[in-house]
Amino acid sequence: MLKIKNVSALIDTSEVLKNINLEIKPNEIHAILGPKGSGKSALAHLIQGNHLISQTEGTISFNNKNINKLPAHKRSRLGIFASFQYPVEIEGLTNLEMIRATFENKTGGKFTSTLEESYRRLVAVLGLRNDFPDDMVNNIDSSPDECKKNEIIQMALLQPDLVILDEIDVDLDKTALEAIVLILKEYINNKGKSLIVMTQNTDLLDQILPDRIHILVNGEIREQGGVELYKRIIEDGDKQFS
Amino acid sequence: MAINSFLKVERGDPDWQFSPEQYFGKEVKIIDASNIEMARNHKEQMVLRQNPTDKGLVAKHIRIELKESSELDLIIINDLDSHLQQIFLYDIILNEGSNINFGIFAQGGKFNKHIIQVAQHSGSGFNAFGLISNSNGGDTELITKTIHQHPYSKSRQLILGRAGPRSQTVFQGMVILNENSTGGEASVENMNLITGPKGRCFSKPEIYTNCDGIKSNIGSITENISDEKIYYLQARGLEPKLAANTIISSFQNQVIDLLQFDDLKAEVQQIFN
Repeated sequence: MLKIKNVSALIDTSEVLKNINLEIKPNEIHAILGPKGSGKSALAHLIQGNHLISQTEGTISFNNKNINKLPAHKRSRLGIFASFQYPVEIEGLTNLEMIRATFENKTGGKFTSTLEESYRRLVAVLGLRNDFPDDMVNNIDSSPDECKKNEIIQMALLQPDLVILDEIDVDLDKTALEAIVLILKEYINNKGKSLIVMTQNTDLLDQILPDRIHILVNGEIREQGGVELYKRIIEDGDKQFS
Repeated sequence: MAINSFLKVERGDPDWQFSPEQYFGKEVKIIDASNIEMARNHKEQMVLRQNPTDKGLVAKHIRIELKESSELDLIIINDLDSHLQQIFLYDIILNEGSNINFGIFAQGGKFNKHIIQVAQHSGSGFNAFGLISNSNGGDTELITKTIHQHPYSKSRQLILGRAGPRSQTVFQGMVILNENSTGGEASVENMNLITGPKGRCFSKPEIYTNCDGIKSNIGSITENISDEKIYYLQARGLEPKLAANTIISSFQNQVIDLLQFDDLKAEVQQIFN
């Protein structure tokens, strides 16, 4: 599904990613662990196509198509969805209006009343207020917890093929995290869907059980592995980053 | 009548540093005067469309008086060609227990200034909302001065500004609650969006309270249409141009949605989009 070969990238003049190699196959869950500033968000949004991150080397391909030069909206339409660690406020645009606009734009279909019901169901499942759909997107009064849940709702309704969750666990309490994990498990059970979870801590791993783990430090992948690395990380906690 | 110096401004060097005090009591060349008077206990809804063609720097005056316990919903839709320089003066007198909902949607012009003066008596209400916008290299301004003269009067202003490339908006909202205005309430909020390079939005909301027992609220925020916001919507599948338009129209709709009638909303949206 996603192949990243020898990719390096800059933000302004700083090299934030160095010679990254990754391959994510359909129905795989990958976890990328690393300390703050290790390049996790840069990698997530390089894959999404943020024009503020310059890819200087290598190739990113998605479903066998080179997407190096594709802008973010085209990558989104191909099925890539990166969540935001700090989702931005859009004044005057309600959460429901945003999901309607993005859904209709991405799929070309109508955001039907059935979809709106699904949307409201997700709002309830995640424990958000009934009037949340009418709140402005990530407005200044929203808690970080609400903004993160909003990202998950967008993901669940837009049904991308590849989801990249950037620090989705931060600012969430245990109950909220459990609700999100339920939605993620439902998502990954669909055929052909893949998930990359970027995180700093190991609590989430226990619940989503990734197939592969990558340790990112200073923009480089230091270590990669499967179950054995997962077990070691669970035992060692954050020591592997030091 | 001579045109006073405060109106002789160069583009890019506005007179925004003046306080509203300095706008009132000045003589300007008024070429048109209208009068709206609401009888006691009367209710009315009005829309005034201003699409002037007069050349030169001219001013138009509208006097509005609401008698006791009357109510008026007044919407001003002002759309100026980029070469016009015009000033609109509104003198509003709100007698005891009267209320005005004053919607102002002004856009365009080389120099397009709206000056509103409100005198409020006991228990009256002044609710102003609207959008001032300029995207053609000119200057659109809204200057208000609201005086709460007697007890229990309320005023609320929610004004949005939008400045496109090399254009500017100015909002100055002054509210004075004088010694006799006990129990009064005043709110002035101004939000601005800069949508192009070298766009500027000036903002100066002010509330002066001269007695106890007042509730007041004041706020101002000015933002650029940022790459970050565009990227956020782009990452959800919207093309950059559509993302920018979505951000602008959502911003504007915060006040356009306050209009009561759908056809009026559509008309205003068409002018401002």
